[in-house]
This record gives sequence, C-alpha cells and structure tokens, in this order.
Amino acid sequence: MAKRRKGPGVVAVVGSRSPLGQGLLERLEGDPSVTRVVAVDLRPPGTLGPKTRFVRLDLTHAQAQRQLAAALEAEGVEALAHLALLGSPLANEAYARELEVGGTARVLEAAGEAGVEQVALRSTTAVYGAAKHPALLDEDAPLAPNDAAFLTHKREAEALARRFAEAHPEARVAILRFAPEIGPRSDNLFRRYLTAQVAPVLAGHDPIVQVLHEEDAAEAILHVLTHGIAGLFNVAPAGALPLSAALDVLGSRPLPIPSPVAMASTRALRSLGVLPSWREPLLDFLRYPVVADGDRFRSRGFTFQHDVVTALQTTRSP
Amino acid sequence: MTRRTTPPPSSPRAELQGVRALVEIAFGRRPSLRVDPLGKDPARWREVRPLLEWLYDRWFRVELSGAEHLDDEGPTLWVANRGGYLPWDAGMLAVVAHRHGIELRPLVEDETFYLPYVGPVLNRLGAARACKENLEWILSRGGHALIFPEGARGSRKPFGRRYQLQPFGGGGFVRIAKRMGARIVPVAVVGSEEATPLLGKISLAPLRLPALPVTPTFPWLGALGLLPLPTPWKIAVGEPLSLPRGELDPAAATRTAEEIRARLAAMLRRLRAPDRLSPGSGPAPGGGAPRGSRDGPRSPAAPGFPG
Repeated sequence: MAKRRKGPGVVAVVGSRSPLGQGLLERLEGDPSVTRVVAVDLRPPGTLGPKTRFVRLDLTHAQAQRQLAAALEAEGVEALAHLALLGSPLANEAYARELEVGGTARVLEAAGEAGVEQVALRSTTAVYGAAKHPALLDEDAPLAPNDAAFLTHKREAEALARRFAEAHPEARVAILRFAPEIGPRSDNLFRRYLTAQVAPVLAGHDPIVQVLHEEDAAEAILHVLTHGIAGLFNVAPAGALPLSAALDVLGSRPLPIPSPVAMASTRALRSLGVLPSWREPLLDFLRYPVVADGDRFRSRGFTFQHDVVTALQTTRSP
Repeated sequence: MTRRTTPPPSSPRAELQGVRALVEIAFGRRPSLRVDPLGKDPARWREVRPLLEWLYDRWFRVELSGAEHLDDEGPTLWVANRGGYLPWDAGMLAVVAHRHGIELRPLVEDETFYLPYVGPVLNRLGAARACKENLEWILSRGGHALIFPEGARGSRKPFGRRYQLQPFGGGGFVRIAKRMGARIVPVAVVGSEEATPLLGKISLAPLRLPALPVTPTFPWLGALGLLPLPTPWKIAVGEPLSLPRGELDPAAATRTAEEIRARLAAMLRRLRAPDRLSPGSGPAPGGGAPRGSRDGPRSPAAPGFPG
C-alpha cells in the first residue's frame, strides 16, 4: 500500500462513548491531519468537538450494518477505529456475543461497503488466555484454551478482522491487543479488581501483571491511524509487576483464598445470582501471568509515555 | 581439582533475614516494585543469597570441583541433573555461579514452577518456567541459563531411582544453544536426592492441587519438613562444549543431547564412587572430573562436538 499523503483525513470511531473512545476523540480533534470525525455509539460523547459529528447506532441491531455503511459513505470516512468491545464480562452472554462478534461483523461489512481504507480493531492481550506461557508473549504465541465468553468473543472478532483483511487486500487492517487499560478514566474488569479495597487473590500465587495507561492506549490508536499501520500488534509497555506489588501501589488489600475455595465459591456465588458475570476460567488470570511483548509495535515508531508504576499511580489518585 | 570452598565469615543476622524474605515473598507480603521481564527481582535475590550461601557452606558443605571451567563469558547453558522435590540444586548452582561472577538463571519444570508459595519465590529469585522462549530470551542477551533436561522425570522420581538420569527429551536445548552460540556446561550434582528423598506422593487431584510429596520429614513436621536434610553435597563442573554457531537438524541435536547425557551420567558415577576406591580413576579421587582423567565419556562425546 502506498504511504498516506498526510494523515487519515476523515476518521470514524465506533464505540466513541467508551473511555478509550473519548480519549481518542480528544486526540483526533487536536490532530491537524484529521479533517473530520464521526463518533458512533448508543449515546453521544461527553463533549462534542467542532470537527466531530455524532451518529447514534445500536450495533446489535440487524439494520446497523446498512445504517453505518450509509453514514460512512456520506461522510467519506477513510479510517475507522472499532472500539465497541467489552472491557468487563456481561452476565447476558448472548447479548455480549451479539455486540462483540455480531457487532464487529457488521462494522467490518459496513467498512468494506463504504471503501474505508484503514481499520483498527481493539482487542486485548487476554486473548492469549491464562496458562503456562513463556514469560513474554509475542504476537505469534499460540492462544491457550479458555472458554470464558469474554475471551472467545475477542478471538472471534479478531478472526473476522483477519478474514476482512484477506478479502480486502487494498485496506490496511490493524488488530491491536491492548494490555489491561488503567488510568483515571478507564473502566474494565481488571481495573475494578485492582482498585477494589479488598482484592481476592489465590493463596500462594503471585503472577506478574502488565497494565497499559489509557493515554498510551489512545495514542496507540492515533499512531496506527495516522501512520497507516497494518498487522497484528501487542500494545503493551515494557515492565511489569507482581500482582502483590500492583495491589500495594494502589493501596488495595489482598485477601488470599485457597484455589479450591475460590473455584467453589465462584460457582456458588453465580448460582445464587451474585457476580453473575464471573466465571471460573477468569480465575486463571490470578494464577498464571499473561505478559505481552510490545517490541513489534515499538519497532513501528511508537513510544509509551507511562511505565507500569506511574500508570498505577495515576489510577490511585481519586 | 576437588576443593572445599572456604566459608566466608557469616553473620547470622543476614541469614535470618533471608529466611524472613523467603517467607514474605511466598505469602505475597514483600512487594517487588522492579522485576525484569522474566520476573526476577534483584533486591530479593540479594536478600535471600546469604541464606543460600549458608546452606551451601554449612548445611550441605558443598564440595565443588571443576571450577576452573567457569568464567563469566556468556552466553552459556548449564545442563544439570535434577534431584529432589524442591529445586535446592538450582539454588546451590546459583551460589556456585555467583561466586564466579556469573548471574545464573535456572529454568524449572512446570510441576515445580507453578507450585503454590514455592513458585513466586523461585520466580522472584531468578528462576523462570522451563520453555524454549525463556531460554532464548536469556541466551540471546548473552546470559547464563541452567536447565534440567530431565524435568519432572528427575524431580518426581522415587528415591530408589536416585541419580539415574532420566530421558532428556529431544535435543531442543542443543539446537537453541547452537543457534545462539552458547557453550554448554555439564554440571553434576550429588546430595540433592538425599536432601529431600521422595518416598511417595499424596494426590490432591480432586482439589485441582499438585500432589504433595512424602519425605521422611514432610508432611509429618509441617512446613519445617520442607527443609532439606543436611546431606553432604558434591558438585562437579565439566569442561564446556563449544558448538559453532548455526543450525542443527533434529536428529543430530538428539544425538548430541544423548552424548551430553552420557557425559553427565559418567560424572555422576565418578562423584558417587566412594573416595579412594574409585576404580581406574587415576589421579582424581572422588571424581573431581579434572581434564586428564575423563576416560569413559570423552571418546563417545568427542565426535559430536566439532571445534
């Protein structure tokens, strides 16, 4: 693909209401190479910049593809960031699947119809699954079996993006596996866990954990869109900490629970209707480290501004 | 030559602090704010090292031979026999390395590396999971890695089969060493098997927990029973093998691995032979494996290592 003349021009952000989407909208507003922004979500963004237009869309709706394609075409969108994937599992897994897998399919179809040149998909390093991994996972590492819907949906969304890239060789498709996002605005399962006053841990286990500051996450997408980057990338800063240290920095108190007790109580709580979205496979993330190697993305000219300790510290302040 | 390392002046305070650090790491009460990509916290290693050195000098009274083969030029791949449920052997070899200016990174089998409480301690002190990616990470940076090719076949074998080298698996480690231009250093350890003799196992599979070892002291004495018995240890460092950098086909790698295994087996035999009675070992009583006396393993091994 030829290098872009100057920046992405007209950009669409699907899932613009998410913390990551909001951060990206601000950056797109401030980037002179971006002429217009189309914010797509169920609800309008908190602040609407002068370049930004809001399009209301329900990705789980059967008509979403047609509506989105029409909007993308009407605005002449050249680059699209698809961020409408869940940061925390939902109890209603059928709805979650409709949003994450069905929604991704509709967004990609619409992008194909509208001739969008660049697509960036938000994924997560959790797709590697929590298992007996090497200490550092590069993009070629195999994905460990894990049947938590929260993960399998992201894997299916990635597969859709790969198929889209094969079907549209003229489009630049980037799949970005973000380390767990953290920061003052971010909101996802891992952040809620880390910032809980009392955080249950598996007794005798202290996996190395990796976090990504929300500003670095938004900058990473902007970097991909403005540089026309395609491919599969871990977006993960160098440096990681044991879980015990991360909780210590955040001032959370660890509550050690023996793993058999944790497994049994997870099942019991769900059957009682408490914590309906929490499933046993997710416990493995408290047992095994999942640390991604961000070298490939760094080699494409990206510099992370935050390391793990400063990222945690900005989260601690209320 | 066989030589007993002279114990350095020791202060019991440092060793007791080492014990405390060990327990606190195991229970997640000593947060590490700086770990390297493999999970090592150099500060924790510095805190626990006096304890390991005390074990080396006073508890196991390690007799080290072949130290003349050690230098800090990396990358090197130490290949040792694995003995005992917990990897005290890795800890003692880390002390040997440290005393020769070498930072040794042991790679430990899954069955041990993921043990509750034990795993985090091993990881913070510098051990990593035994896998090809971690080995490449260490060697590609010019570091020194320690592997136990027997893996759990070595650490989970019954006491009656002590020091019987189990299969090495394929020659994957040989191929990686050759690709990275790492010298292979064979290291034989005797004493580790008697320190925590494995008499049996209690399965905890219904609880999805690893099997509990049964030793003369564990679980009878509780956590105290995890301490190794004060058996006398001998460690022999063999002559390093330099493989010219390049690729190796799997069959040749397996052959080379088998040759290394034969050498290690011979070193173990020599270490275990009673002093003065070792037949035909010439000038090397106790089997120190000095250069001149390597009779058995040398000839079969030599053709495998051009250069």
